[in-house]
Amino acid sequence: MEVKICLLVAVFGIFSISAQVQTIEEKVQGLADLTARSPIVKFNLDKWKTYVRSQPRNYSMVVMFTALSSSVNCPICRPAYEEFLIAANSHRYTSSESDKKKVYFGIVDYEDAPQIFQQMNLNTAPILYHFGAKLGAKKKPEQMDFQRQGFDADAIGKFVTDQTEVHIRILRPPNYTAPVVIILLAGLVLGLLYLKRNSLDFLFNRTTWGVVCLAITFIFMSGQMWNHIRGPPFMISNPNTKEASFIHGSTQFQLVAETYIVAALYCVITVGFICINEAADVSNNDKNKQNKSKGLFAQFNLHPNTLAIIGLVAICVFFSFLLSVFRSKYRGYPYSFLFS
Amino acid sequence: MTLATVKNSRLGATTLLTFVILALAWFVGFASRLFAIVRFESIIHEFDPWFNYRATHHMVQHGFYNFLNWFDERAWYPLGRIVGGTVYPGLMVTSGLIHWILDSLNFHVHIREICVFLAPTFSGLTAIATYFLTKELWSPGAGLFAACFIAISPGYTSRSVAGSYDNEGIAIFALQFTYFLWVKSLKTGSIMWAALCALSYFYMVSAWGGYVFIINLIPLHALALIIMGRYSSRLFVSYTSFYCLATILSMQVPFVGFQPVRTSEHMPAFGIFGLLQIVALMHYARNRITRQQFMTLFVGGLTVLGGLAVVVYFALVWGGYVAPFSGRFYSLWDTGYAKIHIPIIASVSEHQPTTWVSFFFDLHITAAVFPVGLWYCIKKVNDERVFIILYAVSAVYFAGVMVRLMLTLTPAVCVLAGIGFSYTFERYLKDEEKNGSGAGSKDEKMYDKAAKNAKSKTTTTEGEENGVSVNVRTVIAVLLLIFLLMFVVHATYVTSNAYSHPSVVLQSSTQNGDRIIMDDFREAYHWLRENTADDARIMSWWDYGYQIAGMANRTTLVDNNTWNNSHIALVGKAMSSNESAAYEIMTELDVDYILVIFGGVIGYSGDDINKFLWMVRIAQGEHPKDIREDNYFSASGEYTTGAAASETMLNCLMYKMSYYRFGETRVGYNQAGGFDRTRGYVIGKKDITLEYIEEAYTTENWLVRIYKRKKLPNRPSLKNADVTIPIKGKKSQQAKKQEGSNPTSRHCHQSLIYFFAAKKFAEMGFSTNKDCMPEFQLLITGLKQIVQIVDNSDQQFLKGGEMKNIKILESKNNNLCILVDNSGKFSYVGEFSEEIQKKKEDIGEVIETCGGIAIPGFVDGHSHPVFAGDRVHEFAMKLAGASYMDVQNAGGGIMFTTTRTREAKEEDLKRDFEKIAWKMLKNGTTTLEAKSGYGLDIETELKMLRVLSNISPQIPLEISATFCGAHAIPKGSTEIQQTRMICDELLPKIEHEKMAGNLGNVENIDVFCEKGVFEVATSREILQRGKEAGLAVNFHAEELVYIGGVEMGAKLGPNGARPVDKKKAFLILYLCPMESYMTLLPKL
Repeated sequence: MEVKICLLVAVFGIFSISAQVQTIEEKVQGLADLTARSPIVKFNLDKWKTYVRSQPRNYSMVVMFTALSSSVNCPICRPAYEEFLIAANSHRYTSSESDKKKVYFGIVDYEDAPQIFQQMNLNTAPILYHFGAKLGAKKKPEQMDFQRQGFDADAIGKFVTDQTEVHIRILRPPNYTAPVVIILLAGLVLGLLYLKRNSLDFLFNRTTWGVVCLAITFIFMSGQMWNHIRGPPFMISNPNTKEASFIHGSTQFQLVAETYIVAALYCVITVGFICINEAADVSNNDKNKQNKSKGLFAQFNLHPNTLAIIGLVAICVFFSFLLSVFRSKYRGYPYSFLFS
Repeated sequence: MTLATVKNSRLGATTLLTFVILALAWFVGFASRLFAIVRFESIIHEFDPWFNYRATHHMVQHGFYNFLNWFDERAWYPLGRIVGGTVYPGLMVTSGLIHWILDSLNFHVHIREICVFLAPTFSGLTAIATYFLTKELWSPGAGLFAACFIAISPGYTSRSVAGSYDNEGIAIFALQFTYFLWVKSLKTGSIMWAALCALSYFYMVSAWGGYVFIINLIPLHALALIIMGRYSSRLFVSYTSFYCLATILSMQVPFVGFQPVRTSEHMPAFGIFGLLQIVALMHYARNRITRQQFMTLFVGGLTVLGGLAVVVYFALVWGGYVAPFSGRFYSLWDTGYAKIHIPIIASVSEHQPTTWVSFFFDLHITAAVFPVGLWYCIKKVNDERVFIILYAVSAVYFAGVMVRLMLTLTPAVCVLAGIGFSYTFERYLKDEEKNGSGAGSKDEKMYDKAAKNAKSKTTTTEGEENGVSVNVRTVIAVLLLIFLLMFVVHATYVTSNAYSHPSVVLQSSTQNGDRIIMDDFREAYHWLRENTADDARIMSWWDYGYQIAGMANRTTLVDNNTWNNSHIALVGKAMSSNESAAYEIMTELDVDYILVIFGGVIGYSGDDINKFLWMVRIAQGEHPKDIREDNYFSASGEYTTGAAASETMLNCLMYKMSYYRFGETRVGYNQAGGFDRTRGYVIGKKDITLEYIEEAYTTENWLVRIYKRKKLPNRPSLKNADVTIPIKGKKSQQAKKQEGSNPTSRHCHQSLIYFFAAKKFAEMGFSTNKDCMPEFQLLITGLKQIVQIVDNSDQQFLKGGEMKNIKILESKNNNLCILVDNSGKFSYVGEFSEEIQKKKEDIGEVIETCGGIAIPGFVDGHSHPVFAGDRVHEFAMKLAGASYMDVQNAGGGIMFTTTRTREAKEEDLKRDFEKIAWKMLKNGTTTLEAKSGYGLDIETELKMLRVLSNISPQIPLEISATFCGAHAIPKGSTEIQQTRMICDELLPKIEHEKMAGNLGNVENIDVFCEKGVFEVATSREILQRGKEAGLAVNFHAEELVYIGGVEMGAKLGPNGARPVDKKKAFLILYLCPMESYMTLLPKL
């Protein structure tokens, strides 16, 4: 008997909730239920109207509008959602109870509720809005500027802090990819070493080490670190003529293509120098009739004279070319060699 | 290597040649660094050198120990800076020592000259140290090449031109010399060399923070040698003795202190020290125990020890005994670190990553050749060459991350390029006639000699012509020489054009090539030095702190030693806030002057507006609530000060100070005013007004602008003595007469301000003579200024922030006039013109003011001017804290006045009131709301109203009288009785009198609606009754206790004045829609 009464009450309760505007307590309770399982409330139209667009509220909603289904082509939505999830999870696990009641995270997927997108007059995704506690039904919420702030979890946390004064300490689930890759690589190298344990000569091969060191040198001298930090485009094309240019005309900026060119130029010049020296060394060795295949280019069996000339031409031509690339960037530089 | 084969007979010549070449390298290195001095003058450059100079000067004056204890109160106001403990003193000590030596030799030179020429001198020493290092690594020939390269290499010149008095200038010498001694000690395994190396390291530590590079590179070298199986007892001896001595010595520098044992940066060196002991033990034990024992002992033991060491290290870091790695260190490895965590580091341009152009610019051909040297060092590796390989590879990485570390790469590049060239020339200059590379500059000769030297050494070895033919050899040698020449030319060009600018003095050239020197910085600093108080505090962005201290000798808030980020953020916040917020910060920081650098006039791009975003960022880092970077961008997200600039940007202090009065200038003939040449557009807001600061000085080219923080004005003052009032009746006739008799002569009224109330004027001025009434009643001419308040007909008044900008007409030649027509309205306000001259016949009265000022009269919205007996004695009670009601209950207050007023005669009241009215007039009041309310009975209330109505027509004061019978409840009456009396007796009487034409100016009714006086209900009844009698509602409410009176009044829909509310400003909401005004009173 009692059970039946309870059921009846419960049924009435449900009806009354859906029938009339909920009070704050009911809403908070509802949100607590919704966020019990996942940190992000997934909105459909009903929930949207109840929890976000109707007063009274005493909590802020941070809502991401996105399109996660594969039918909608939105490559950026997935990573943005993942960052948002990290922020929401951090809020769930690190914020105090009172803070948790101040801010809730929610998401509106285009597939679930296109009407909400229409209501909000949105045609792009992802977008992050903050609906402040006092925000009226028709008012425009605060939008986070992904362009400027980016959408990583820290930026979202900062946005929430700015808007609501609830401080979220972002806890990123540790990213195991880097250590795993390193361990795998190290394992691979060690495994190789173990397999080739009888012929570890290559470790003592100075040419290998030389090539590695020279590669490092060329990489940094051609400004790859700058590329890594500033992330310039590979090349730019003139919007008027559609003509692609590989070299940027300013000393303060560089294109990826241009750094590759420069690295190659340095490399060729260095090799040219080594050629010249090898040529001389080979001729010395010939004289001693010892035929040590010591030189780098000995296997090509070139005449030392040819090798020296090849080296010389490489140095002159490519250094001139390097100079002219430099001149094209550093306007007003007066000196050139062979060609301007 | 070839030197080993040189015969003894050649030794003398080789030594001489070496000596000459090194001397020439020194000379050339010195001479090529003097461009700045030749072009400008012997002056300290840039920013940091100014501090170094100031410190050196202080040391020379006060002695070394006083210098170490120097507390500089002129920096980081109000914090000050302990200079002795926060500075690497090597530079100052070196200069001081040179100064002292020269002085003892009776060769007196000013310390400034020593500072200026120190870096070029040391560049020669660097060349020699490089020679020795390369000689140890490869061969003397390569050493000479390397010495010549480093002497002129732009990468090193950039930090060591004359006047660039900075740590790096001597540190590179110390660096190279330490490396030389390290390599030497490693080669010999001698404790003496290791001890010398430690001494040299000590000098390096005392000179430059970059010593951390050495103390990590040498252990790295030792580690690499151990791993490569190149451990030897030489390594053990040299490293252990070096490490122990170096650590102890470096701790003697006050700024370094205990860092070598307490920071993570120094821990690798310590770790390697420990490792070496184990390895040494291992080597010792190997021959003495079995293989089995050996494996157990060391493989097991090493793992445990290694693990233990790591655990201990982390425990120490966690426990705070060892400081973790510093932010600057992280920023070298994690390239994104600085931008996020330490914007102040990221803001410095020399901390940016390096483009390939900078590499090529600084290294030229050596950049392409040094990999060759590296290649051969690897191919022919030995213990010491491992060092240069590690040095080159690590330095090239660091140089890629940060532009300023190019400086540490350059020596490695010079050494290796020297090796590369020497290697090639050794092979191509054999058995040949001398190359005729024409004698040109000195540098050229030097290379020629270097080449000859290499040749002279190699001629003794057997030549072989089978391989490369003689012609090819010649061509290659000549072409390589040409490359070397190109390097010399390049180095000279770069030194001359890029690295020889003092940046204290700017230079530009006109179209016909003449040089223009712009000396704005020194002009400004000199102005500060001469025109400000000795203890004046100057606020500027931190870049200019050292210069202000060095050249102007004034106190600064922040400077280039960026140790206190929050202090810098505070200055950044002041610069990025609006004027009033900035004023608060500046007041807190005791700022007297503010200095900004502005390049918009001459197109100088290093000015504060271009740096401004960093100020905002740094300020935001500390004050995220107040400063938001987003607010400084335009709507489209750009950083601009042009038309699209955001409101925050246009109102911030930096914008205002940079562009104040800039809108009035034109930089070119065909350019609009306010065209900023640096940014290339017209600025967004031209009419900038400054409220809290004033411009103190702007230099010739506007490069430096100095502002003074104003002291807040005490309170506005009025010149009462000057205010007089003309008596209209008499004056008008007088004026008429004079006008008639002598129209040309201008009679000036001496009074400053004239009052006239239009209504009164019409009544009294010309009513006697209606027939021949002229068209206009008054003309006031010769005005200097007319305060209009508003100048468009739609607007009647100003409110809120608008009140700051009242409209004023001004004329320099006192040519303004006001014309008033017969209805008392202004018919014309503005410049006096011919047309008005023509109308003169029709004008009743002309007042010539000779430069007077016309202002609108004041309206007094609440007064009780008719009374008897003053209540000054009650002030004592009020000051003691008694409330209004307390005073009233004690028999004072309104009841006191009421008694006296009831007793007073009507004539006396009138006489007193007229006196008061005159006084009010004199102070500028022309319209007065005057209340009765001290009678509280029928008779006296009417008496008071009569006084107000019958004021002498001589007094041109417009009075709007208010019946205020409900001002209080008199003794012996109650709220109800009083209400009845007012509603049923007094108001009908007033109504009657008004009908009879008396009490003409009684227009309003007032109630003191207050708890315990007239409650809301009775107030409403009285006001309702008054309204029926044709009076406007006008009442006191909420003066003491909030009872809801205003809401009540608002519902009655009054239109009169309603004064006296206190702090419940939100009630204004009720009144706003109803054309009412409210007077808020401060609580007494």
